[in-house]
Amino acid sequence: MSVWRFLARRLVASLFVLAGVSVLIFCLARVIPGDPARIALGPNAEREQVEAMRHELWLDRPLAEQYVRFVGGALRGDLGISLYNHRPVMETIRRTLPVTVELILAAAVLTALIGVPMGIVAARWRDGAIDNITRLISLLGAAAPSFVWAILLMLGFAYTLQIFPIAGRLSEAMHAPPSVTGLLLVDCVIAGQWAVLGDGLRHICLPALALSLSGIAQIARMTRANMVEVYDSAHIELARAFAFSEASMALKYALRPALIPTLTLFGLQIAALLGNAFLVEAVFGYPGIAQFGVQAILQKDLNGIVGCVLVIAAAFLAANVAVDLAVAFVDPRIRLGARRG
Amino acid sequence: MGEFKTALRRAWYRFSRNAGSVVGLAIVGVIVLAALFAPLITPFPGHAGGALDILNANHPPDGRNLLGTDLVGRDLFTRIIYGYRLSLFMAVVVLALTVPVGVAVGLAAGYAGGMTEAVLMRITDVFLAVPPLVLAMAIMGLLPPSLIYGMMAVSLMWWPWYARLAFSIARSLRQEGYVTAAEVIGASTWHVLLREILPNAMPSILTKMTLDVGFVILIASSLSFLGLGVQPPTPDLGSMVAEGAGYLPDLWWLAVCPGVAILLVILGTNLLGDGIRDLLEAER
Repeated sequence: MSVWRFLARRLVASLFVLAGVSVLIFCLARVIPGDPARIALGPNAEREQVEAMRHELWLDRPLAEQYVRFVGGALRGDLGISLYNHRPVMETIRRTLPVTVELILAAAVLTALIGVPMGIVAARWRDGAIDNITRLISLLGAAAPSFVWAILLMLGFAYTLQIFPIAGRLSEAMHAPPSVTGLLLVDCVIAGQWAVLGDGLRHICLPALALSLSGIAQIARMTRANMVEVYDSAHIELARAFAFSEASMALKYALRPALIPTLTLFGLQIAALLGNAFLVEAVFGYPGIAQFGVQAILQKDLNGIVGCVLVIAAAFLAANVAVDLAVAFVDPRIRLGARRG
Repeated sequence: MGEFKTALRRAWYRFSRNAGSVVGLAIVGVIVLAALFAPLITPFPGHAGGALDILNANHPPDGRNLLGTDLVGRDLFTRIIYGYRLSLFMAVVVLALTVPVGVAVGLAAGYAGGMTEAVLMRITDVFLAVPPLVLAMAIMGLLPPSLIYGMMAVSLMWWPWYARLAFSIARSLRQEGYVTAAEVIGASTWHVLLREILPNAMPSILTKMTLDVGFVILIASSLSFLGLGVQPPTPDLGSMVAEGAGYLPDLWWLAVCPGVAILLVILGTNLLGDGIRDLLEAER
């Protein structure tokens, strides 16, 4: 089976799961007691106002009809009006999602750039001092929720050492370049605004690090365990017999097979990154979709909650398809047809 | 009795060879005891609720208040111990609710196969398609904030993981000789599921449960950090961190102490869970 057919199958399966998610979250939002219109308008609203809003939101129709209307709207990119900021949910998501995507990408890059080399070094000098230090870092990284790390990093590097700014995405004095991709750092490169790029990079460091610590811990442990296993295998012994250099042995022959389980773990990490982005954005006042999501949740904004969950589930499913593809490219043994699809 | 003693001693020998496991056991043991006997060992048990002691507000950690006092003068050490009490209670309730449900779904799907498997596992997939914290947050957002609803929200996102685990074990055991043998001599489906398959799944389930205690605490404290869950003045580690975060860096202990308290309990359960996993894997 070709990679393309595999991709198509995974996409179709993901669409079915996404449809399931839409039913789940829609039912949860409608079944749970409490009148969203009453909550949105407050306890002092007139009865007629509440009735009018219920009518406007189709809350007075049967559940099935509500769902069909909702899906019809969602397919056209209309997720309804937010009861919290009274603007189309889709508009807010389109504005805030790239901010979060950028943060998560930065965290993913940090996870890969720190976690994998940590695992390699730990495996190469197994049970030595370096191995023990990485073990300790891994234990601590996985032991605290990301909001605790966010606060500790903020206290240490922003308040005490004053290396990084405390909060936000850009300094007051800086002006973001015109949006092309929505990703601030990429837009800066396109516009050639290097000063703004530097400022944005300084702002993203601490949130991205806080977000990536638990992932770094797990990726490092996983890479180490797999490298140790690969180091004991026959093809490394052969390479050693041919007197290949240590570096080429580690990077060319040991790393590649060891990377496959790491990549799968990376896919699972994306779920954690998406969830934890809510916490880290809250600490650092980062203006992403998570901030909108938290506000929507606190204000009982029905449309906002449903929209956010759907978009995040879609992003998660897409990321997982991407990871599956990456695994298929790295691992020649994968018989695509045999995989769960 | 002597046999049991020997087995216990051997298990302890295996367990204690890893220093990390022993440290984990010590951390968890101390925290559980402190939480159980909180009214006896905390210096200011009255501060667990909405007490006021304005004259002593915002004291940094010293001899009288080991971890300082909060904005209204309550002893932070006392509140953290009571916070542990709540976290551990939540973790136990969530696991007690979700593990039986998840395992039952997984075993049924894995053993029955066919349509049952397809329906149950696709439903599980739907729950797993939303990042756990996001799903719990969304459910919390639709419910009034309280301890009961918080536990319900976390439980709703927790069972699918046990369904997955039990499913993969049940599916791999379905073809085993002893399962077929039980079927051939006419054992009921219940017998096969509960007496033949479940005992073989227990080590994996128990290992996951010990590791999950820390994870439930992590998720629950994340929810309450965002203001979804237990409401003040009930002492909760997550909401204490959230409250203190606004007073960085001057009143640093307000956020750092409960934050480190969360780190400590999760570190302890992770180390202990690893030790138990090694133990159970060695037994097999």
